[in-house]
Amino acid sequence: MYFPSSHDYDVAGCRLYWAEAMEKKADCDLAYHAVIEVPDLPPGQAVLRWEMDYRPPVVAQLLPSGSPSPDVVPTSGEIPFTVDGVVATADRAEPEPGGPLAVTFTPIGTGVIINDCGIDEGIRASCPKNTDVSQARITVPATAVPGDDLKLHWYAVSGPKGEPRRNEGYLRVKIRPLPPAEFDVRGQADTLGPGQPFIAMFRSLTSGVTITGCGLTLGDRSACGASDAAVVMIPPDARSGTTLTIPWDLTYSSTRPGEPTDTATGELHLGIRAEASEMAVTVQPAEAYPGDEVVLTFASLRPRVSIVECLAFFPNDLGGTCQRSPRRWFARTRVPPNAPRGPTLLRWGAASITDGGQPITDSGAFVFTVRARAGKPLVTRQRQFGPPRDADPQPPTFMATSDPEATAPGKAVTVSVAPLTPGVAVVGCTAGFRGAAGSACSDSGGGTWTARPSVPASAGPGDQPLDWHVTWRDTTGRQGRDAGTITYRVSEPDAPPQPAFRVQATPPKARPGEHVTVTHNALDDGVTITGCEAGFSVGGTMAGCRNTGQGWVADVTVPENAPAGTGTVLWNVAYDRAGPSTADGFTRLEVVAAITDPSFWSKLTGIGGRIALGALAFAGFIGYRVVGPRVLERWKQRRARAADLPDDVDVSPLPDAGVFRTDLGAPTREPHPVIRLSPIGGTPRVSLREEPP
Amino acid sequence: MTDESTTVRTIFFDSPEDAVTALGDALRSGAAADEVRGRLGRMPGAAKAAVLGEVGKVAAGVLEMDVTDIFRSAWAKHTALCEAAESSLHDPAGERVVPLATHSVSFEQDPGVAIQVASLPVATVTLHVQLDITVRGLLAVLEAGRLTRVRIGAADFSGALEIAGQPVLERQKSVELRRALRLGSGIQLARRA
Repeated sequence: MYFPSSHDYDVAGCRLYWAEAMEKKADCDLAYHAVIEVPDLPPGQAVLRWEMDYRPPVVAQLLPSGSPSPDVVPTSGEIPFTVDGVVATADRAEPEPGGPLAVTFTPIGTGVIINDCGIDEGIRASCPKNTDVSQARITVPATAVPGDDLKLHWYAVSGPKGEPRRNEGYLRVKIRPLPPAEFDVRGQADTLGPGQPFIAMFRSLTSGVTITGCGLTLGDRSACGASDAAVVMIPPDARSGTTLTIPWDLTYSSTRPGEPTDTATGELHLGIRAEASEMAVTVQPAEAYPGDEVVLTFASLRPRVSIVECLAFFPNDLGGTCQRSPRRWFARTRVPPNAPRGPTLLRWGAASITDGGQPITDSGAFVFTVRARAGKPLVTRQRQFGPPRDADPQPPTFMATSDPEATAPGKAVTVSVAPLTPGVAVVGCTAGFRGAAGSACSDSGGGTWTARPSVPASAGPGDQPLDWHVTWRDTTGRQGRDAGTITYRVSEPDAPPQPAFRVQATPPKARPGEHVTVTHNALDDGVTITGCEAGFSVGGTMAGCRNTGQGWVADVTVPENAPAGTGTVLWNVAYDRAGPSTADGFTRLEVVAAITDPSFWSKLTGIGGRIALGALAFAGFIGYRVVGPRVLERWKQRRARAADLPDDVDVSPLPDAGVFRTDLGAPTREPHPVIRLSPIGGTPRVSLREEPP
Repeated sequence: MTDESTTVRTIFFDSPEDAVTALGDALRSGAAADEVRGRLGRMPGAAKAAVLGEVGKVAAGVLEMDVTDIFRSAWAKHTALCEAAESSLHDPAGERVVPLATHSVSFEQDPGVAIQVASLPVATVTLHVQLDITVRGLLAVLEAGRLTRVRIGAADFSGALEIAGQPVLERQKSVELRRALRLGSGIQLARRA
């Protein structure tokens, strides 16, 4: 750069320097000509500064202090300057492992032409030859660690032919961090009662992330089984109305690049609600083989409360919904053919309704012992029958009852149909086994119509569909039809089914050390109890029965060490029906830490009164039409959640609990792991260094 | 000499309880803890803590090595001492008192604790013990080829302890060898041909 003098001033001195590299200045020579090299600046805009000292022609000037000399005036300025070269930019700031990345080379400065370019370190890629495209495309290694920097060395050869100039540098891009692994940890219930099992399922929502271990902690930690489900028991003394916080933890492995094995923790919240026991439930028999049938009998314990629906099922089994006979509500289910020997859960639930229309649901689980069957398990198919399809879309509700509950081929069955919807009257009906002609009903009074179809002589033993069809009319003149199916049990001609017994504990709740009265009644005609005994299951002694005239009664003491929760009373009955025989089963008995509502049971006058509660057949059904579907839906939801008990969940009585407290524990992947610590001595290395003599 | 032995553990810790506590703490927190916990992998946190607590106990146990054994190995290589022992064989009834120049002994060992869960090895927690010992003013008594007593002398220990490759502590300690060593019937340094 040349700093010429003019007639207005004389140049006394001058210099050049770069604003980006101020430490290196180029002073002018005697001809006021300065030459400065372009330093190693990144291509692009730079600033070249100049300074000049001059002597103005005017003699008297007031010069600022600090001037180089009294007659010299400094001045300065800037000149924009473009540093030629090439810059490299990535098309994305955060590429993904295995994803594409394009690096574009841009010439800076007029006349700069890129002749060659590419990436030669980190990953190698060249710009395409003989094209105008100055871009190198690479694929980020699939093994690149998310969150880490990817450092690429680039080069570009530019400039006119014969004077090539090489630009190079490093380009850093950040490998896109992985989205956090997500898990779905969900309890199978939002609310449970004290002493009940709480099951939580663990599921990874992130592809490539696998749960390798998990568990819940409620007191002790309960590890997950192979199906990533963990089970803890709600403490029997958990207070109703409180919320339990149940911590969970899991470890996971990942196939996502660079993601290490890690852990995750969280909490589940569970409302505790100790529901009042509403239902007496009797199970027959007390133990069974895989494939065997188990019958549960339900009876409402509250006055003016009627059962509208109930069911029972073993884990991973369809189970059975309730049927009604004049004597009882009952559900037949079967021990799953593949059920392993030992304790399993037998779950039950019942929906009922008060005569005021208030729905009540009650549910529970028994620990049921599966016997070991020698040889192949008996495979029996549980049959489900769909109803006939000639019903109106939204008919009134009817209830059908069959009597007896089972009978042999050729025998007649009494089928009673009654409307549950107020203002609806049956005007005609038929009932018959599927494939056979139906029998016409007759009005038997009280709104109930009755037919007596016979079991076809050709029917084999087992469950057969017994269809009923009804025509109806309501008070508005509307008419319609409805239909339904009873899954009717056909018995062997010479082998009547096992008689049913209702065994009830009074009161149905008791504290440890208290006495309960256990009453045995036969529900089938022709069955006479000849003796019985009952006792608190596990830890209690069997007490003999006495015949009170209203039933066979045993006085059972709840053991002092019985933990609160669902307990059971085991019973054995000797009976006579064309010969002596025996039956056994167990009945629900809630063990409570404190009596919450003693007044209710003190109001009941006797066992017969409670048995009579079951006879309140239709009194409570007035409101059923309104609330019934809601009750059933609620129950179905419960059942759907409860039925998902994992295959590998073990259920076993606590050996030291002494009573029928259940302990649910999913087997860990490493059952009962023994942790062994072994000292390793290591080889000592001793060296000696003597002082020189 | 007394009955109280000097062990590697006493170089680093005042009492066995201190050793268990310090090693347990080191295994439960800090860089060494992270290292070991990482190796324990998917084991639940509470189980890890319990295991590491036990590892601390076992690790403290492996430090109960008597320093006499270290000197036994070292002095068996000491030229002047072995020559004196050789000479003492010629006068079985007498004893020789040998002054030894200041010398150094280095000791290294990598004891550890192998952790197995259900018969499967999941981790090995390794300790690294480094002792640099300077022996000063030693008057050794030799009888019939054996070093039977130390009349006077001191040893300056400089020790470093690592767990899982992570430094845990360093100590310096000086001991009187007369009190520290348990020579019993003596250290055999020379035998009759």
